[in-house]
Amino acid sequence: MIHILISLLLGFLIGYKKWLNEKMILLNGKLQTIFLLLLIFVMGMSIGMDKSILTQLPVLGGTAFVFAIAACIGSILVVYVISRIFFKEEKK
Amino acid sequence: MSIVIFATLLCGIGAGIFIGGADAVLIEKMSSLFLWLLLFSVGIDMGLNQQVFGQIKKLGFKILLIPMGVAIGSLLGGSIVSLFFPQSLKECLAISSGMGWYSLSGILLTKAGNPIGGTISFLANVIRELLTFISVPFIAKHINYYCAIAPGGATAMDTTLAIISRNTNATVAVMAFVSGVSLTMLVPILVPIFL
Repeated sequence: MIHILISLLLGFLIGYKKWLNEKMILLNGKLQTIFLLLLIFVMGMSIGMDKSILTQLPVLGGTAFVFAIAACIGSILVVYVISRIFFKEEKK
Repeated sequence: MSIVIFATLLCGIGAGIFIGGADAVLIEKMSSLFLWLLLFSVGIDMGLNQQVFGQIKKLGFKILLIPMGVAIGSLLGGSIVSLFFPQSLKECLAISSGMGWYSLSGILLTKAGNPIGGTISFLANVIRELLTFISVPFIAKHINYYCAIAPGGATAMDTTLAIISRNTNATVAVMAFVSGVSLTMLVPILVPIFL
């Protein structure tokens, strides 16, 4: 787990110290999309290779949908309460 | 983007079925490598956004109440789900603390030895991003602008920022961005706590 924080912090340091020029920043954005898609492809592969997950996929998808709805509604409710208490001036 | 994500995932699943149980260790190593590269790249983006710290100073630390509310609300939602589903409370909290960052939350659960939870978490957080695209215009119109920041979670700094800013105003867009950055920093700390 520590590796993920180290990767993030290393990147953060490079960005924060402004060691990259415009071109490299643009390249970083493109690479980010490529890394993201590669990661998702590999994650898909590990799902496809796992028979037990594959057969349960419809159920897992349904559960995931419930989680997504619950997290959205929960966060909207809490932010609503906070906005009514602390951000009264700009209601809409 | 969400469509591309789903298509890539489906291609990956197809490739996985095709090659069968070939080399799970290699796949595991590759996913670690891509995750580190991705996080390194995301880290660079975060570091480049130095104006965030200035904005926090300008708008006051009150602005951090929004990401705090999003985090608490997401966990609250996750814990309610645990009442009705077989997943344990801890697992539910790990899934909902992904806050829309699907590429991180899912793989963390999978790597912790819970591939089922990892798959749920990945899908839940992709769906959360999709729901954000659909719901932000409605929330901004019928509830209030601040609430439009909430469903996006960590994605409010990049993929869903445009839809938030289009439906609210400049100040709220800045707040959404700050909220997204704060949550992006929180997710890699929060998810492992619940593993």
